[in-house]
Amino acid sequence: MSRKKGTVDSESVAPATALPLIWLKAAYKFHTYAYRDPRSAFASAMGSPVVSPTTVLLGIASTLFSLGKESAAKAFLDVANNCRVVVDAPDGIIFFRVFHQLRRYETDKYDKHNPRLGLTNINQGTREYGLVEGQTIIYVGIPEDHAEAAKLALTNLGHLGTRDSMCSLIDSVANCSEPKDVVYMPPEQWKTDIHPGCTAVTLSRFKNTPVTQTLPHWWMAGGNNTEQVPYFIRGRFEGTSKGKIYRKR
Amino acid sequence: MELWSISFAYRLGLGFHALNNEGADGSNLMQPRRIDVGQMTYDGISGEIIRRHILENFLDLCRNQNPQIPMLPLSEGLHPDRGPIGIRAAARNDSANPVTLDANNLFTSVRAAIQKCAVLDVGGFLAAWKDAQGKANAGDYVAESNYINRHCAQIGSVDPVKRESCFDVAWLISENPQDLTVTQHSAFRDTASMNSRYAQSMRSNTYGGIIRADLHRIGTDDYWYLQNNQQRLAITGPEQKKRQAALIEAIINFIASPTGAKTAGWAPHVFLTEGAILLTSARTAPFASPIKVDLKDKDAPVQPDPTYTKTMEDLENKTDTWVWKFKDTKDLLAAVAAIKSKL
Repeated sequence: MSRKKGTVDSESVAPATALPLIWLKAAYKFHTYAYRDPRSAFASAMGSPVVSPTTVLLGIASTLFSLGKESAAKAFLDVANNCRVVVDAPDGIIFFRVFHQLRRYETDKYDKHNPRLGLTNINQGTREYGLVEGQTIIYVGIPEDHAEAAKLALTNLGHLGTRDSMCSLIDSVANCSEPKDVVYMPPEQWKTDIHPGCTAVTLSRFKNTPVTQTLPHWWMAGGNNTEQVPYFIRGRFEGTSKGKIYRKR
Repeated sequence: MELWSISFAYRLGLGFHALNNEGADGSNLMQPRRIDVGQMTYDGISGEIIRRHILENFLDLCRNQNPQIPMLPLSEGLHPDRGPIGIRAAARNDSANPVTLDANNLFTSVRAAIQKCAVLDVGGFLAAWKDAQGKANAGDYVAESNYINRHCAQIGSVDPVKRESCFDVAWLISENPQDLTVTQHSAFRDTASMNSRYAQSMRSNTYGGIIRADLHRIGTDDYWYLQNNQQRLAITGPEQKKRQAALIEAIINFIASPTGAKTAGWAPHVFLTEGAILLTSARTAPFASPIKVDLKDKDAPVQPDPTYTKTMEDLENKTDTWVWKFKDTKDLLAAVAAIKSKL
């Protein structure tokens, strides 16, 4: 296992898909947007203009569960490591930082008899939220048998990123060809084909191993079968005195 | 299966309010939420604080129904740990004998908690307990410990469980930069020579926001498939409808009479209420944001979008999607009955 940030090991190549993929395209708009760079600390979370492949794929599975389609969700998770994701960033995002009361879990670190073990306490931290210009387009390459379920999930996807980062589908989910022009490059691509005017962001993705359950009822990104790697996306960040602005062009 | 879902896109004009003051930064000045874009500063009110007040409205509505919509005691006070404690209370199930919450009764207890408590149901929870319970002897938590000892199961070897909330609230974002902050001192002082002990800044602006509720999830058991021959719906159909209607009314009550943090001295002066409500039985409800972002405009990068209600209205098909526009509080409140009649 390698979970080193920004490194790519021999195991962590992009999914070498054995199954033919059907590509789906879904465009979303936001009111406010929030997705945390997986590299950033919990208490000072940095925002990223694009979401990670694991966010999209686990979002599809989560939506299927919430619609009562548990067998479709489980079957999709079995092939999630074979799926491919491309995210086309919106035209621009204004990121703003906010001070939050964050809930953390009580531990027995300071008091071995803490009666509130497992309950929550409050700490402070910051989060970056975004105001979005334009739309975010998600492209997902899915094995044919799972395309209908994925279409249903993408139609009903409630949020991309955190729960208050609600998204609204524009038009409907459509079949498409594999997107070639979108810059959403994993390390295997940008190391040989660097584009000008691009920025690296850290995202999480599944490795080539099947997705395993963390608990009998829980699947998460962050375990042995995921990794954090730098993706190249089109655009630049501009710093302001109290935040940052992302511009695609 | 009908996928009932509802979205609200709305604008509120709030004068002289402190709904966005949610905490201090270590000084004694309450800080407002600010959104800085280059030289421009906008104003925001977080969805989390609005969620809290929608839940307050919700439990009032649950309490006032006849018969009451059931809630567990700590949920009725919006206790922040209601999820873990509620599941433990449901596991003990009013038995005089202590019961241990473990892998054998975890999912049936989560299901029982949803049945017994509409607040856990719509509000969601994350119960990430450890596999050991400390002794209930810390003075800081006497009331909580007493309740836990009397009504809750002991914690055995048990896995974390989570329920996503059935409704989400996005930020209220101001449509205009915030030029002026008025400071309100929250303690009276009779001499000008003394520094104010506590101060909070007051704001005025017009804000745009979004709220969405996935009504079809209300009353459902997220872990039904891990139990033998269990239905996904954990409560009766009529009870589900009552909870759905109460949540819709709680959201509408917030928009009609917004409250939030720091309203002890000053209720906000509401000078504008307008928007559109979209109800659908076919899918997760779409929405159009009342604000638009234009990064090319350095003087006004965030602006009102005058087309948002029309965009919502264009989605109506009167078969499985209905839209109600409102231009004032009267219109908004009138929509409650119309929405209930569709459910």
